[in-house]
Amino acid sequence: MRFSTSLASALALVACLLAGCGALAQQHPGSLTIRAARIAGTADAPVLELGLDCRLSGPMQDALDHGIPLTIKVSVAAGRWRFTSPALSEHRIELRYFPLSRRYQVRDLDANADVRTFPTPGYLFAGLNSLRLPLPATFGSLPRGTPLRVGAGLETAALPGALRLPAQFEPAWQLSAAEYTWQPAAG
Amino acid sequence: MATRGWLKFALRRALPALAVLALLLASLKLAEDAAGGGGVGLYYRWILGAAAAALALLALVIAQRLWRLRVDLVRGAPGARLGRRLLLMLVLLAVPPVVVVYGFALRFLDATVDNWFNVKLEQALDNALEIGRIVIDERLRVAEQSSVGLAARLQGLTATELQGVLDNEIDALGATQLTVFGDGRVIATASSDPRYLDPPLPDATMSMRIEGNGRYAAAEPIGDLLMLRVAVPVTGEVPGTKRLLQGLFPLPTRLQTLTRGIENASFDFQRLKFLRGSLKLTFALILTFALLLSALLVTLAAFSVARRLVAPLGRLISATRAVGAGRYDTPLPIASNDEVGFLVNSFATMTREIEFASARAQKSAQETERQREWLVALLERLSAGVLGFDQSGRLRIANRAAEAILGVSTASYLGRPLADLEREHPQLATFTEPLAQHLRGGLREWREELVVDTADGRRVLMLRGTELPDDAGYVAVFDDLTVLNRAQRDAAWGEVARRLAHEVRNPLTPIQLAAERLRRRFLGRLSAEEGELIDRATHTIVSQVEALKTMVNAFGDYARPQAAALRPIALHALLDDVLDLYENDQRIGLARDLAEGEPLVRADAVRLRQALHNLIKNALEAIGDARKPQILVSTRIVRDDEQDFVELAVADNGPGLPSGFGDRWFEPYTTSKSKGTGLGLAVVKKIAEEHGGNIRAENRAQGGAVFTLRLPIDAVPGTSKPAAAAVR
Repeated sequence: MRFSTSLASALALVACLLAGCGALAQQHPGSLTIRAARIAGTADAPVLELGLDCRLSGPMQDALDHGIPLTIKVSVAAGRWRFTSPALSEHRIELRYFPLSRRYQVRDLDANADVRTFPTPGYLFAGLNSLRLPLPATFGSLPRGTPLRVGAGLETAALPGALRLPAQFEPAWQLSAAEYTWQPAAG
Repeated sequence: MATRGWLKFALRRALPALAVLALLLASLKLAEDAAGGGGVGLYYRWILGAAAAALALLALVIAQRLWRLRVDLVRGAPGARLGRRLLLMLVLLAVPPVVVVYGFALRFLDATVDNWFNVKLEQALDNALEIGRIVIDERLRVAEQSSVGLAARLQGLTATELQGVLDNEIDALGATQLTVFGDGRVIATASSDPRYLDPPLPDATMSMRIEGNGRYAAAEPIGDLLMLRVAVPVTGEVPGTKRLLQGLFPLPTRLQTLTRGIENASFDFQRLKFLRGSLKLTFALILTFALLLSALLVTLAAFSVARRLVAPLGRLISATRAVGAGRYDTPLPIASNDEVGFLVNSFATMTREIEFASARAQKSAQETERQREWLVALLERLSAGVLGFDQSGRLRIANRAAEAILGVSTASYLGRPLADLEREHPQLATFTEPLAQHLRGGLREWREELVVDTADGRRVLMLRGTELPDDAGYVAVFDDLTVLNRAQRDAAWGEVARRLAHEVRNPLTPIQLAAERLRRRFLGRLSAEEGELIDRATHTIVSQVEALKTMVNAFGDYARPQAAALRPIALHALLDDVLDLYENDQRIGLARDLAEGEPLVRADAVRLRQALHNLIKNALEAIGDARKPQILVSTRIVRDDEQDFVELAVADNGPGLPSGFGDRWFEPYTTSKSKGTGLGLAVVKKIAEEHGGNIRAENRAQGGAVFTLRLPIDAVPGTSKPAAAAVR
């Protein structure tokens, strides 16, 4: 009797775990792709022109619509190795929704001037296709042929504390772009 | 050694403590972060990992202790079972409350979080937000109408004219900024707020709206404020150009504040509502950490408490076992000031008393053993036979003398009734039956003289018995009177011989002399007939007196106390001397078979020669005239009871020993022959005893008898002294 009870309890636990894993697996993750990147502007004030193809998962979109800002961290590095990079820059792009005006806002937290608002998520994502992020002057004086690498991903550390646990384990909260690498034609 | 000790301390104490601390800090940090005051976003993964690692470490420590407990249980370590019981009790006492608190906390958390989201409150916030939107829309409509009116007035104006109109109208319309774009460029702009000098450029969204709806009007967060942004095309333009009037209209300060408040409140509510599930999950995780921390801590504490409680008892059990095994010097645990301490002290006292008692018992046992050994030694050296019986008549002890006298080995009869001895040795019935009868009779003491036929001949025994005190059984003591009787007889015969020699020898010479004088005086004077009578009579008297003299001399020899002059004698040389006397006698067949070497005996040569002569003479007389005497004289070396002997045997081809031949035949006047004094063998026996030896007789298998004289030997053949040093 005790054995059967224990067995039933163990089976129920295993079933719950499997169901939980199944539910997690069924969540559709968002997607983030770096479509294009290039260094523009002048040598003194280089600008990263970045095209991001972004699609948020359901939970992410819900979170955004409920006033939770999402931050996409964009990191730019020159050279083959990050730790020996001669030039390094990071930008946090905040996506935010304002319910009163019903507008979505894109803001570069590291460059306060660039604030853009959009009436719908579609416009918002379209706006991410043409980001202009100011870079340090070191990027304007890189030697010819120096490879550049750009990475982008959701910054879970910027999420509210309550969301960090699901963000660690749920696929719906995984949003990261493969690193984009190119070599500028000229220094 | 120090490294090992440090490692042991780290594994047993420091690591679990660190794990507990880490889990506690992680839970606190996670809780703080979930409540919104964390700031641990960058380290969240590490904190989570540290908490999981701490849990795993604690689980490992507990598993290791459980394994150690299991090993102790399997090998039956002292206190292991008590420790397990205490552990179970402590865990059962502590864990259920923790689990109950955990359950209630989860339920409370769930209810509390749900209660935050009051439906009416949400509705009110939604309504407030909607009101705000209506107000803004109303303002937008006014701004839109103003902008449309202004756009109509701007038709066909040059850039300079446009700037002038804008400067004039901006205050009239209450706008913050008015801008006219043409072909994507700013043609003219006016601003009433220095913070808004740069006009925001129309983007694609705005362009699409204008193309679709003919105008654009929306409230947009610009800078830190919510602004009403209106854009309308300026119609009637110069061909080839496309102008757009954009106006930024502020909300009144009061309205700005209110709408921002409404928006923030609604937003916070919605954010919390969205985070509700995650919040519950995070708090449940933290509570689970707390539960596991409590449970594991309780289990660890239970291990520690059980170990502390059981350790002295375990050492006490070990000490009990050691004391049970006789090791009284086993160190005891230090007595604490509680019941266990009392137990330890009591045990120590008891151990000391047991140790003293054991020492006393051991000493007593040793004393008893010494007494027993002494008694056994005493019994073994008693010439009297001793038999001990228990109350049921079973033989318990028998000494060597008893075995020697009875001629049986008693070892196999120990613990058996006397009837067994009688059944297997029926010749001892004359001994066992009366003894059994006395044992059954229950007499306190008895005494009886018995004659027993043993393998060594008939023996006269004096049996005495008594009942032992305290129903301990009986003891029977018997002496072999045979030797004593023989000695008494020998003494008697000696006295007879001495008297005979003294009383009879004295008158014999006068008798002989008188008879010879009669013969000399009357033989020639009397008639022939009378002379012949005198001659025969005197001859008879003289010959009989000679015979009497011979007999008296023989008695004299027997009775004379001999001061034997013992010295080393080469026995074989002496034998050769004696036998050579008989060698030339053709009537006798004499053979000799002497052992190798030259055994030396300490003997009186004269007495030894006499003994040998007596034995040969006895053999010749026993053979008689019926056949030619065949006499074999032999020697051999034997070892008996750590002593070397030489046995001198004289064998004959006579009729053998008469039936009933025994020790009495070595007494004077015991003979089966018609001739002889009957003293020959008695003298031989006496000479043998004077030399520390003995004489025995037995029949030969091929017929005839053999008399064997055994003498102690001085040197083993081959190692004896040189013959020249010995006396023949």
